[in-house]
Amino acid sequence: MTLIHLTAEQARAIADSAEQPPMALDPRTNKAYVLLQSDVYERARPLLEKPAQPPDSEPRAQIAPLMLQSMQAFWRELPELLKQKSKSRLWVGYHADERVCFGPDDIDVYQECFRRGLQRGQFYVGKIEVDETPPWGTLNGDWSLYESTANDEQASARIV
Amino acid sequence: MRILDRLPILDRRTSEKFDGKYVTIFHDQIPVWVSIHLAGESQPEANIPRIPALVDTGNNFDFSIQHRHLRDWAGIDPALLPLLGDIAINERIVHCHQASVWLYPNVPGKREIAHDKLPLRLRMKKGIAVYPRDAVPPGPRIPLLGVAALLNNDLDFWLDPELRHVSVETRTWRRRMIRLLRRL
Repeated sequence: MTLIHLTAEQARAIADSAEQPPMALDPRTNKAYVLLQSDVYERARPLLEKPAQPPDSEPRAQIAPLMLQSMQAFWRELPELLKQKSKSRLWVGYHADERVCFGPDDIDVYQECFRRGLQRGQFYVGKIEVDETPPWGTLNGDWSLYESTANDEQASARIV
Repeated sequence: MRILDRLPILDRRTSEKFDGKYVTIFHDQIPVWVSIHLAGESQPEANIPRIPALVDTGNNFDFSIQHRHLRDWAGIDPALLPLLGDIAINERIVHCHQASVWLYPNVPGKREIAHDKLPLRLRMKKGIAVYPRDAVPPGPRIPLLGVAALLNNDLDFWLDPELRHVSVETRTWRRRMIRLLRRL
């Protein structure tokens, strides 16, 4: 592994960085590098060297049972809810299999659930609109952010 | 209600300071100020930290943030946010947690928060995506406000390339007027 010695200014910039791990940029190729401490890298190394796995094989955290039951009730009744949709019925709350209330805004439904003594995680507030993915399902997203620094002066000198 | 009022898009790199920290904003990026709250709060908490986020018009999810930024920047323990579902972002599973995000108005023509104006609560129907603490790579360098948040909250987004600024506002009569004018 090649060892590159940082200048004092670069070392200071890394130490002062609010973003951890800090990043460095090669102004010639415009490639960004993440600077990891060697012990952190060694810990992450098995992950980096592991062949990519499809998303479904990754471990999932568990949705709270009451929340999941509430979501499932919402999803089950959504076709019927769509028929009842109006200006005052844009959002709906479920606690397990029980429909708590409708509301024109999600905040109205939340407040009514709180008023009834329900805690966060014990109920689900859903918007009454056509949706192709159930609330507990896996959405598909693209994180698009690409950071070009071509126009930035001193781009290579200091990362804060 | 105008939330972002001629927010400048600069052609050079700058630093934004918050809570004693600095983050880099590169040229042509759109930084906004947000705070993150437990879902269902009708008012933002008085001393909640306001943190930077980037408007990402190519991002099809409402809001994405690293676990560490949520805890250390936004002051929220991710464990307090109920899990809703997940999202596969670039083939990586990221959990979605129930939360609300408040977007702060800027001083017209400047990046600073207009403290005399009320923030706007953004409804996060599917929650916010929280990159796990040990994610490699760790997730966005700065939290991302995706275009989905503008769509789902019925916000007008207007970018003036000549003057290099962007405005965001809630629905007004002007939308209908502009739509009508475009047909002519």
